[in-house]
Amino acid sequence: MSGGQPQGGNEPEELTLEQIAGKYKSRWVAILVTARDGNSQPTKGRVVGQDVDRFRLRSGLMKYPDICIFYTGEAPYPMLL
Amino acid sequence: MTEFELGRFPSLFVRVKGSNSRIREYRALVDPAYEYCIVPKGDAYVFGHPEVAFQHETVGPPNARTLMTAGGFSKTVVFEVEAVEIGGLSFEKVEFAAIDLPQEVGFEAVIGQSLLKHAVINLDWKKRLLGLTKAS
Repeated sequence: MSGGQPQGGNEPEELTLEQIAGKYKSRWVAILVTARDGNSQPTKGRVVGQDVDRFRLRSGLMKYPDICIFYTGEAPYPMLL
Repeated sequence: MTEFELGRFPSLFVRVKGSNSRIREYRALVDPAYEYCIVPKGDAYVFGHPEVAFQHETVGPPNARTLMTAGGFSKTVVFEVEAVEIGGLSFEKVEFAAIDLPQEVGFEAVIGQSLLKHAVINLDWKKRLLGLTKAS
């Protein structure tokens, strides 16, 4: 699977976090946050990078002084850290 | 007390501001079993700590530490960030360890004791709420 910039126009569209999770299933995404709730938690953003590999995703993010990165999926097994 | 809805794990979005003013925001696991907060090694570099890439076994950087993890011993660097913002709360001068958690975990940052020692946390599993406030 390819990573990096999402396909489409010049500026990525603004999406809710739920829409991002649906569009980029089980991927690491980097977003520019555009809206937050009352607890300052992100609710909307523009996806500027996405990849199944978070290390590969980071290669395109150095230019951003402020970026939000998260995984849209779930751990596939019970977790013991 | 600022309250957050619990997902499968106690987690929330946190904004970490490095001493060089660069900001990375993560969906971080909240786990008081971790003695340090954690960010990935690549972001330690972003925050102005290139020594994360220099981890010679015998002559590591002065901020190198050996840590015990579920996966065994890990040698890494520990550094201080300018601030961590969680909700409307701000915690200054918080220590982080640079560790790459397995990708499969789905988290790459952890809020551990180095921040939580300055906070009061309330976990209500029945109501699925995580409460957080700064300790007085």
